[in-house]
Amino acid sequence: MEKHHLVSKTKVILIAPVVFLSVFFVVPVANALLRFFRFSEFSNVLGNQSLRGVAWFSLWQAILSTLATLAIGLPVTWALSRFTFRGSRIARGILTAPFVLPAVVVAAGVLAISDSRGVAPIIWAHVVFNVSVILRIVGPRWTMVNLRLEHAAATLGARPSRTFTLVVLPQISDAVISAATLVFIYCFTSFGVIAILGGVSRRTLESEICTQAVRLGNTATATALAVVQAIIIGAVFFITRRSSRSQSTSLQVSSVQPLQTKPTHRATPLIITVTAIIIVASPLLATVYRSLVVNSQFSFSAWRTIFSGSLPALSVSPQSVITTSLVFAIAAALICVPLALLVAISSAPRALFSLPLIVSAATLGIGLIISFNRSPFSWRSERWFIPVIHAVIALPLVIRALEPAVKAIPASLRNASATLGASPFTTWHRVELPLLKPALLRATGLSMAVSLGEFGATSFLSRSGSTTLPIAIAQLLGRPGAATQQAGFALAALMVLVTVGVMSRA
Amino acid sequence: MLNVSNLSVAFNNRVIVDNLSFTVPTGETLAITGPSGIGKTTLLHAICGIIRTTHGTIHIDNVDISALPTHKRGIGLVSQTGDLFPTMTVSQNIEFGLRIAKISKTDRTSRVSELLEMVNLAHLAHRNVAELSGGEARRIALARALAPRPQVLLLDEPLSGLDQETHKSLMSDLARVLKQTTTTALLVTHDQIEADFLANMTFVLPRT
Repeated sequence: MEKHHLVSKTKVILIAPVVFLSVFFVVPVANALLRFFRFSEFSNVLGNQSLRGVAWFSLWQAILSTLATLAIGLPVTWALSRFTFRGSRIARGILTAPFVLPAVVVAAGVLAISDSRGVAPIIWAHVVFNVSVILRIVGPRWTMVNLRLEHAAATLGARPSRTFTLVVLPQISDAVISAATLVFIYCFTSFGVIAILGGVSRRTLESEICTQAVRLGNTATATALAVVQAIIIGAVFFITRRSSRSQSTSLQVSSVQPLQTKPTHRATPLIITVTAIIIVASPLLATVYRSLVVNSQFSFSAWRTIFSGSLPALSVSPQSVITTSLVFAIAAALICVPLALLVAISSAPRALFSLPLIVSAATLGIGLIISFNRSPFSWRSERWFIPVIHAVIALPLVIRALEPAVKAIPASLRNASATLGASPFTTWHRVELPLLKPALLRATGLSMAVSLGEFGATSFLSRSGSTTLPIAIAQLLGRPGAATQQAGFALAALMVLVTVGVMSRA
Repeated sequence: MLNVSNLSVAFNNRVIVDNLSFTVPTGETLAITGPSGIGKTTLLHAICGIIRTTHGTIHIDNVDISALPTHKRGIGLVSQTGDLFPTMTVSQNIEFGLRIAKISKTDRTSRVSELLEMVNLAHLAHRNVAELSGGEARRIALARALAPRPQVLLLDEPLSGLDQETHKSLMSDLARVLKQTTTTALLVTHDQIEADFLANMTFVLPRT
């Protein structure tokens, strides 16, 4: 009876998130595939040398970006997981902030420093973004590796490098594989970074899908490219999940062992951390610098323009763009956080809710423009539609942000509340919800940050009245003229400040 | 022979171990006793090089090892919790130090079998360490520390937290193993009965 009751409760809770995700994600993506996918087009794509080149570039730049991210990310993860020193918390904050920054902003920052487009700036931008993925995923696992095991290995004669490969790495390898997989997928489906730093010659599958679908109206080719992209992502997931499973068989012991006292005052971790901060934070500071300096002259003109002027390169005023983005971010959070909470408190499998992570934004974009263009569902031009899609994209991340907090509530609290006469609703409202408040605030911040930075799907849906900040930045930086570029950097700098502000309050 | 002279350890300007000197003759066991929090574990960690000393020297058989890193000191450590490597089996744990010392596969296998016999756990050779009981884990940790034949063995409360029966049987096994291997050992404990049973001499750590 108890089991039956739980199952029914889970089903009821999940109705809203399942319907939401089905309508705004599963149906459009499936619709695109069913309506436009042709095997003939698939073979045309594979036979097209130019498109094969795009696929090859997507692949190798993603591999190179992942390796570069690991090379920077793993040492600094070690430094911040194993040592405490003055400023280590601030360092962690600086290094994790770019994860929620819009891709176009990070790309704008790299452009501000390098002043050139191409592979090296693309990889740098990907590193800036994704070092935080390594820190967030590998860091907690590394912290849990018992320092005493490393001492034991040393007393058995193992030098630090052997201790790392024989004792530490086997315990963190599944986290490293998970993080590397995510980084690879983010880089492989890179869109905002490529839009700004790719120039005319560097295109990824993701940007090509957008070009084919929106600019050339060639939806069948775009769909075939989306399938090629999905097959590669699926293959990477399959291989890494198998590898990760085989690595994680005996990790239970480490996960329950206590955190050890960390040594302090060591130079190596400090040097590693400062180096990583320079690599990650300098592009962000560069956006501020470039927004204030043009032709070696210091000027607030770009900031005055974005707050009170207008720009010929934009069809709407910069103030309207800022307002639109903030309204969309708040609306997306209002939709996303309650739905994510429902999923987090249910015991349902997470596979369905992880789909927006696997399917690229451009693939979703194609689905949306072909599925919601006819009455009574001609929603693709509606202003409310964009925050709804932002909520879809933020949902998997927000669920992951809430889950640990939900799981951390001990069952004994619920039992104590019930034995004191509280109904399940009262227990939820009076006992569990207050405990979840900090996590809900963080989740709201994360959802807003994702919405503020979303570029891929929005570029399919955005109209002149609903231009968001990332779209405006890409438009401004893609046009000539010092004043236009400076305004683009000012908007990028504004986004850095707003996103960091939102996340630090959350 | 282990010789500790004028050893001091301090953290954040707080002296934990102050100007301590003692000698443990070859093949004998010295018990260091004292209440919790007095710095017994800190002393062991300083001797094996896990933490830095602020003053003093450590000699093994008249060789100064004070400046050597932990992995070059030739000192074995059995900690309070065993600290077995969770990604390795029982045999692989015991074999670890022998692999590091580049001992041949045949010799490694024979040494592992010998040690498993010594701690009466030959039947657990291929067991995952997560499946061991507390007493079994301590025995394997002892076998692992002894495997590379350390010049000095440090025992950090190796019998704490065990039930009465396991405590009694492990204590007599430990005494037998120390005698059998003639290892020079330093035992830290807060239990005077353990100290009297296992050690040739006892030293009460003074409060700093």
